Amino acid sequence: MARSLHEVAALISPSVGEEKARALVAETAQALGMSGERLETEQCLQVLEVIAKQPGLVGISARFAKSRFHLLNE
Amino acid sequence: MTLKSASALAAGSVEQVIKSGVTQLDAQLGTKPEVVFAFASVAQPLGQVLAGLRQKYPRTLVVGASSAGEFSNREEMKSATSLFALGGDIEAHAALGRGLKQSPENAARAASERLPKQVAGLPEQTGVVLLDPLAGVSEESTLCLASMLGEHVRLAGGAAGDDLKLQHCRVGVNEESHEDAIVAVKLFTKHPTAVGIAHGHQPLTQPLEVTSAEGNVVHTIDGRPAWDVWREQARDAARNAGIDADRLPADKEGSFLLRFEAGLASGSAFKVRAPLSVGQNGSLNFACGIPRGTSFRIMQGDPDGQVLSARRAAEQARERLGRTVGGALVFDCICRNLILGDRFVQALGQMHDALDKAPIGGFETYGEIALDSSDFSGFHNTTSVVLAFGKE
Repeated sequence: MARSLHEVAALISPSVGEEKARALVAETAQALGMSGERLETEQCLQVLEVIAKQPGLVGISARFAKSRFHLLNE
Repeated sequence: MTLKSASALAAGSVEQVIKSGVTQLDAQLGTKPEVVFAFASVAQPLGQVLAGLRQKYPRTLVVGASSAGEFSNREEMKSATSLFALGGDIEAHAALGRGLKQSPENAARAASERLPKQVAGLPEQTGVVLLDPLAGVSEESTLCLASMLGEHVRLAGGAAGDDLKLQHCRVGVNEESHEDAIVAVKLFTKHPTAVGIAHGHQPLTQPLEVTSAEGNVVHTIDGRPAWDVWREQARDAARNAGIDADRLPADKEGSFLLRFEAGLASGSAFKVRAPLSVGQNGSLNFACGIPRGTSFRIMQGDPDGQVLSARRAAEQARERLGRTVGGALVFDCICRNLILGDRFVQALGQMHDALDKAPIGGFETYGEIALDSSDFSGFHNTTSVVLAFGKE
């Protein structure tokens, strides 16, 4: 199921705030060469995977979001 | 057998607290407690309280945290200890992980891997988390622990306090208690528990941006020392509350910051983050990581909003439980007490009413934890978290 960049950002915004989360997701998607406003499930997970490599709270919140991403489809 | 709850509140020496507390618990419970939670002021050192309880209840799991205010049912005290016991149809296990600041992952793993995955005949699992917020990794630790325990384990809990000294916060299991640590408790029950959560804060300022930060330390906001900006932005609201932000003694800085916390926009709501102390060069030390680039507003709460949100958290827990409440653990931010003063007991009374007047045990925290399977964040501030157990 395709999801908007904002929907992906919403997975980590409770930990880092909306503006920071949106900036992280948009920058990461762009760096991965993903254009457009919507991402397929595999692309969402790729974006979270890259953010998850960051140190500290940003990385931990992305790893947590990735581990529970499947709940969005239930 | 059914699940039974009991609560107690006592002040005085550790010996007096243990004697009075155990007498109160035994009179209500009528059976050996499976687990006793102890939330102790620094007036009663946590290690001594836990050891004293273990002497009285050698086969009972005893867990606890130092606190910043203690309450039970409709009564609140300072320099006291609050106890909450569960017995009957329940099995409890707990473990402690150390070195939280160094590695929240390793500390959470050390605690979680010593807990059983399941218990025959008790299918429902609830996690209670107690941690040292001064380690500065409260959200990180909560997310790590939640990942390790799995999405079927509902989490609730609180960050330890130290009577607003903001220097030494402890958590413990049985004879062991430490700073810079996390305690994970797993409760296995026949029927589901329920968690209610609410805060009563509103934005005070326009958005501000963290321009320099490292871990939980925010150095600058909008390019200026964080503490200078905080005082300036909250000055007028503080004056209305009778606080002179420009002449704050050092021992009042913590309580000032706990009244005016940071709100991170998340959807239509605000996730609140507490600065706990002023650091070097005007930096602020938070209870969890605050990345550079974070946009936030300084928040404030009025007394009526604080009473209302406490009741809302209790009503939510009762509604989600879907049956009569048998007992509840309440983790309530110290900021509510700072804002409400003498009206704090009014908020407690409203919670007690909403929870069917069941036994309540809890403490005033430096942070609250609530994470259900659909949540993507678990650490909160300025919030009331209510963990309700059914009367079965």
